[in-house]
Amino acid sequence: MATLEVRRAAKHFDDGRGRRRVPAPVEFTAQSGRTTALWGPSGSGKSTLLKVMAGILVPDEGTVVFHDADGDTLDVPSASERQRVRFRRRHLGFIFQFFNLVPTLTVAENVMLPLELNGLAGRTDALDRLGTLGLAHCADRFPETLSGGEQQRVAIARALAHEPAVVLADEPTGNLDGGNADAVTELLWRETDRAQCALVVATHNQRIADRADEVIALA
Amino acid sequence: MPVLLLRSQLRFAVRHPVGMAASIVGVTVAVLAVVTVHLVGHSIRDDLDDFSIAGHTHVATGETRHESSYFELRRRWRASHAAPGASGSPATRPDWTRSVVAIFPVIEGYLEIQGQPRRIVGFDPVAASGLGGGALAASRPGTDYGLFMVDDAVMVSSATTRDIAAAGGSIAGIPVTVLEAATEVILADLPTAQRLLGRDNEIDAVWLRLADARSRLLGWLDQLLPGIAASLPRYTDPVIEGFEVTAADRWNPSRRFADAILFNLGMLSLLCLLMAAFIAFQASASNAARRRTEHDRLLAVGASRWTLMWVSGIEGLAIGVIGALAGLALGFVVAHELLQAAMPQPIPTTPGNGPDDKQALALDGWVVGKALACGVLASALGPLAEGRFATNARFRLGFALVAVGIAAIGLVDGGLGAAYVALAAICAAHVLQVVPLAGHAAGPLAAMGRSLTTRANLRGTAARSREIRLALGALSVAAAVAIGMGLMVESLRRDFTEMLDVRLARGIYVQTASDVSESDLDALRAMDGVREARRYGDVPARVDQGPVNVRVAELDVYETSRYGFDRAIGHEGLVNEVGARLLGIGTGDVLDLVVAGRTVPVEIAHVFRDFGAAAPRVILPTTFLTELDPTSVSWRRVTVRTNPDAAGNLTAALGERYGADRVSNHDDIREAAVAVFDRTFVVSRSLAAMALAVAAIGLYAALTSLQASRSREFRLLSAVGHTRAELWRLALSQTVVLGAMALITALPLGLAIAWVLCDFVNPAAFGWSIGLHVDFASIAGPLLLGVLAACAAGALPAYRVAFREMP
Repeated sequence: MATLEVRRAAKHFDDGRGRRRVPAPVEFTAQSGRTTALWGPSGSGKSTLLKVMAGILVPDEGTVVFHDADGDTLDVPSASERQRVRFRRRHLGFIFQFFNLVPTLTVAENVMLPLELNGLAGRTDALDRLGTLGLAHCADRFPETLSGGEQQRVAIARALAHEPAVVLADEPTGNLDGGNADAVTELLWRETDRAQCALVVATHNQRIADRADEVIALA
Repeated sequence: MPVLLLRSQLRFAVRHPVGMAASIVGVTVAVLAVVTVHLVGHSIRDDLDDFSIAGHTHVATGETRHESSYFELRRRWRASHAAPGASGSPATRPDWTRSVVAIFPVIEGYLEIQGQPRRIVGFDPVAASGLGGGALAASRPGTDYGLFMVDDAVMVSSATTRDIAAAGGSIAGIPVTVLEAATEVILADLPTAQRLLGRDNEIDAVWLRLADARSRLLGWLDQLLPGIAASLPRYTDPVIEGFEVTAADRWNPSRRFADAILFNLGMLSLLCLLMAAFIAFQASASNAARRRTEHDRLLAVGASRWTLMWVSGIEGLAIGVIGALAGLALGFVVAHELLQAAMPQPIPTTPGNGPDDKQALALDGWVVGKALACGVLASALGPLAEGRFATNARFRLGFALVAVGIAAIGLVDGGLGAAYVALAAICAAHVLQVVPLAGHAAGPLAAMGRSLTTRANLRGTAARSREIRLALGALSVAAAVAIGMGLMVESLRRDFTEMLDVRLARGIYVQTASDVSESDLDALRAMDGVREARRYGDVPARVDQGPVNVRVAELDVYETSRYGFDRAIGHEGLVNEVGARLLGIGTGDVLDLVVAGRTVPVEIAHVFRDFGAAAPRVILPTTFLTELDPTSVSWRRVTVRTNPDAAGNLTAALGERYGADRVSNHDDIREAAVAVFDRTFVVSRSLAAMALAVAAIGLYAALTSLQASRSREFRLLSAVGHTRAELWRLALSQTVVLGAMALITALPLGLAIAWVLCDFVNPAAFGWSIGLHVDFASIAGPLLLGVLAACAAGALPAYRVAFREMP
């Protein structure tokens, strides 16, 4: 079982009044098959913490440790750039508030991208994944022709395409209306549960936080 | 290489055709500049590279003038090339024999043809070809010295051919076979020249052709940056026991003058290369900046920076190849047009370098390689450097301080290399520190803004000047170099005018067919409209080191003022700079002239500047006539100063008396000479303008990404009630302020560059300084061009963000 441990990892910022630690020190472990909600108001450091967990940002204090299913361990902050890229590519899926699909790739190609980066088979798997999410009909369209809800579903498909151990979702419903938000939340929970991966969701939405197995409150 | 990333990169390019086109156009213009400078520089060099028979590089003078000294030298040289054990093994071989590839004896002197003294150069054409050092025809294209195999053959110009024919086909009473060629001196093989000069078995010197490692290295450098090596000593002068060896171009200052022009073109080629590298970098950087969001998304998905860099590099490669090929073709056309505009006629030079052997423009391996390397490497490597250069303020400050220190040391040192380094350091400090500081100045100006929008715009300008500091710096440096070059060219032009004063006496000039006596002169003075008439005498003379041109004239205040001297001269002489340097004399020294076998001591009153003079020249007052052999003086030059309204009639009258082809108006010639000079420098001015254009395109690329980053801000301003036209003005005004800041800082840098070029680089490179003259046009022109460039670069990005990208 893969786990991602967060041990008081934080970045330091100078906000003009002095040095500020973002986020406040927290410790938790994201485990396969469980969901964790990072809950807090805007500016509490939810997105920063997700980027630190993904190895995109290197924390100024604390650490993040990843244990994969084979028992190998990676101390993310102290790993090399190359190791962090490999960790992100192989073990992580990322979902953003603004979808962040690559506009110059079709829907199918967006889903194929993590597979290709991992040297895995491509289009058939991607189409299967899209079919599961009810998006097969728009496989050859470009992202800007889709609605917000559809784009976020494609983002979920892309995040899960290479069967990662951990999915990090940054305000996945923050840019959607109520109906689409509920549908996307449902889909996200269902698919991560089916894939038995750890899901870490950054949100300020109480309803989403309530669905998580564990809630980490950030002040 | 992930196919999907490449596909994404390609689709991005297709979706942003303007940005891609700007990148390609940028690389194209940059390569165009490099190719143009290369072709123009080499063409001018080929035209100006005169006076090199069989490519000789050095002159060796022995202790005796007997030709046996040449045979002895040749014996030593050939022996050193013989097999080890014969005489002299490689281990004991003298250094000079390694670098000398040909040696040949030469005799020089003057012959009288139709009453005119003509210089003759006799040499051994077979020896001049060396032991395998290449054919003579290759060393002087268009001149086949093999024709000397005909007995008593001389190679002369078409004008001299006519004179020899008029003299019955003989020179000095000896019948000769005339071979017509583009040469201003008479060329002959050694025995013929000895016979014509009446100096059997004598030679004046042994000429050498060298090809050593340094000359080869400088040859490559010259291919990379045409003209840049013109200022550097090309050879390690050989040391030969029993001979005094001097570089051939020391006896040929016109070559130095040509080198000065080439060198300044070289400076422009360096600028164009830097601009090319900059623009390719800027295009790549702007491209990468436009893709930053997309790249961030790809990084989050798991793409590595290295992979993205490779993908961008491949795109850069494609841009580079397309831009390089387009630049190569356009550069060829532009070079051709520039040369046509600047020099429609070949520059007449000596010998064997006439109209027939003017080099045609050709795209050789060097220029193609340079174009591809410049376009492809800079475009492909741009993404590697993007975002990594000069982002650290402390680094920039430290670098700038070090650069200033280096510049100061370089200028104090006074050496040429140090002067180059100083120039580069000054420019680097300017880009890294001065331009960003000027950009920041927009911040305090914000308080003066009448509206909140204006204030916000000015504050934004200050902040954004950091983001495009490289683009602004390049614009500023390009404008500054244009100013510096312009000032130097204008100053050089003044020197050129001074040279014309020395060379061309004002008024109508007559070259008569027979000597002009004092009574003839009085008759001329009596003609209507004549204010004054003077005659000039020519005397063939020698000093120990070789032939010297001697002219006899009435050296009153008017005449001496032409030579920069302020009083009449009684019984002293004037010598030109070349003569002073080569003969090792100065004011107050005594020069022993040998005229018709008689030694005449001459005390030197003044050393005059004699720009581009081909040999030592001495001016003597008429008081020396008693000491010179009167029969040796040829009085066949006359100048007639007239009232302004009488010039036309007098020219015609003198034409009737002496023959129209022997009369010319020096004032007209002066005007024509200045026109030729100006046309020649059309090239440098065009190249400077081209550098500004390159900088403008670089600025365009930078401003495109800058304005694109303002789209969110503009949406907000649009939402609160600004019209599109107001938004366009806001965006454009920001460009104008940024451009103005860059150009204001260009002025002091331009003056500094001109100062360094005139007072440090030229003296170190060519031995004479140029008096810096600051004129308004040389400054205003580049600044105006810079403002137009900045406006043009900013107008389209501003229009796009205000009209195209607003909802």
